[in-house]
Amino acid sequence: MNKWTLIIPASTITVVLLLLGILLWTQQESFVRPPETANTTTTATYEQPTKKPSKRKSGTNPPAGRLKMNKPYVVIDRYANKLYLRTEDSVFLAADCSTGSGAELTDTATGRHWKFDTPTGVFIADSKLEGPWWRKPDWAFIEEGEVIPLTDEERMDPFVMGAYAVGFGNGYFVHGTLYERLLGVSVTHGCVRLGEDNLKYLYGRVNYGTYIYIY
Amino acid sequence: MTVLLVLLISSSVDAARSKGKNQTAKTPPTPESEFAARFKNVENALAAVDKPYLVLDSRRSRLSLKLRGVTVRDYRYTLMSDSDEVATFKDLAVSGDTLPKSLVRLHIFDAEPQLNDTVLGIVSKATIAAPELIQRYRPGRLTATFANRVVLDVHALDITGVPSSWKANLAESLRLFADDVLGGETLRIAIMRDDAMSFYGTCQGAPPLLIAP
Repeated sequence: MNKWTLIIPASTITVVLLLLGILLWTQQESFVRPPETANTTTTATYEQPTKKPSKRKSGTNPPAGRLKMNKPYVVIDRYANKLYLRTEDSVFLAADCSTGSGAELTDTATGRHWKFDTPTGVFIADSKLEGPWWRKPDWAFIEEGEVIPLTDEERMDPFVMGAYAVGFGNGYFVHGTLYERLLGVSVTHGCVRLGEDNLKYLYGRVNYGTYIYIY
Repeated sequence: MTVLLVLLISSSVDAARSKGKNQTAKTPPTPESEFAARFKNVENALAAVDKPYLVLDSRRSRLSLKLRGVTVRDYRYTLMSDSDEVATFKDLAVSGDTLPKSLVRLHIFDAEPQLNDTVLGIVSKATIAAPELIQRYRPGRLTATFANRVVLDVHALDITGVPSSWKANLAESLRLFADDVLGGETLRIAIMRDDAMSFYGTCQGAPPLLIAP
């Protein structure tokens, strides 16, 4: 057999393997983390309802270690923008919700910085409010290019939070919305928005101490 | 004296019997029971922190996402692999000392965007958030490669997504082929469209995978 008949196929295979190797190397993708975990300067942000803050429990952090759930608990999926009320075996409510957009805002005058994320982890429902009002924080005015008011009266908004709110610490709430068409999309400043009917159902079944899992 | 002697003998016989019972109660550990105990220990360690992890229970055809030991999401699936592949997958997945398999690679072959460009532009402008922060994807097919070349090949059969770049898809196919040749194992499963979206989001947080005994 002619030696070229062996050398030519061998060299062709080598070249093909080399090209495949280059392709694999150039396409080597690193793991893509969600944008909200990007390393940026952050400051806690929140929407703050003020009406009827009754029966508020304090010091309600979940205990450390593995948890056991005998009662219904709330689960919030930030990527899919879904809220569930469930037990280990049954799901009582599966609803579209809206979670934090992940947007960032900087006040050029003072250098203050906000990142509008919904926090992750395990929380406890620590307040239940009927007819909540929103006390607009500074960022709400900065975002709109408005002057920050000097009095509390000018900050109060009785409409945007819907009929009920369930708080889970640090000023974060599950509440209603005027923009139900945006449910299922990440558009909030960190709170969790829910449609009117689902919010009413949730409010009736969530108690002080109900666990809220957010991932 | 005789009575005392009889009592002494009967008590010693009872003692010997009870000792025998105690000895027979201990059974030697089987590989399955050892793995179950190891699984429980590892899950307890994962459940101690505020980070989600996945548990694959092939007996119940369920892939669960857990947080602090509590199930937060169930992804019910239908097997697309044959039974031999499933058995091999399970053997491979439980082998070695890396019981929780860390996620090393995630690839989408095709996906359907949640919002079209027009709506995305409007929402992005209104919320001052970059479009890529708001957009979500429902993958038609994604592969999650865990340690030890354990691959979950997840299909959502009711989604006809837009293919990712052909080069990236080809490269991933070659990598999967190489993993298979080098002794890795793939489990092909089909899940629902909403589950596919959630699962993709979950995987972006790089949850470790546990395979239930």
